Amino acid sequence: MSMIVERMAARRRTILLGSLIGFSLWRGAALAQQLSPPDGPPIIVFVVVQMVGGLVWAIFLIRALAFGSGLPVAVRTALSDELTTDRRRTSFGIGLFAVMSAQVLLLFVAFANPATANTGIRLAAEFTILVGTIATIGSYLYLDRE
Amino acid sequence: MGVSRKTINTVENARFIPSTVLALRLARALRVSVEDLFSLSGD
Repeated sequence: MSMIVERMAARRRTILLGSLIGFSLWRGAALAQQLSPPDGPPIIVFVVVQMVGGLVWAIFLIRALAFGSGLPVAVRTALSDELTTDRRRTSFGIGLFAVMSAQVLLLFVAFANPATANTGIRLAAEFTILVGTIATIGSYLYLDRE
Repeated sequence: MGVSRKTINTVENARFIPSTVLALRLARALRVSVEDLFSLSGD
C-alpha cells in the first residue's frame, strides 16, 4: 500500500504543478495584455500564451477531478493524513497573506498614482486571484518538496 | 496506521510533531509507551 500512496502523492504533485503553470500562463497573460502599453508586444502573443495556458490548466483540472477515484479508503486516508492537512493549512495561510499584501499594494499604487485608481475592479480582482493562487499552490509544493 | 511514509519520516526527523492520536498509534504499532518515543526537549 505504501508504494501506491507514494505514487499517488507524486501524481498529486504533478497535477498541482501543472495546474499552477497552466493557470499562471493563462491568467498572467490576460493580465499582462490588459497592462501592456499600446506599443507593446502584439496581441496575438498574449492570446497564444492564454490559449496554451488555458489548455494546460484544463487538462490538469480534469486530472485533478479524476484523482483519487477508485482508490481504497486506506490510500485516500493516507493521502490526506495530518502532515498533508498541516501543510495545506500553512499554504492557505500563506495564500491569505499574499492576497492581503496584493490588496495593500494595489491600494498603495492607487494612492501614489491617482491616475491608476480607475483602472478597474476586474483588473484588481484578477491580480489578487493570480497572486493568491500562485502563493497557495506554490507554497504547498515548496513545503511538500522532499 | 492511516499516514504516509513521508509523515513517519518527518516525525522521525523531528520536523513534524504528530497529534496525540498518531503518537498513540505509533506507540501501539511499535509496542512501546508514548514516553519511549517522544519526550520534551528539556527532559
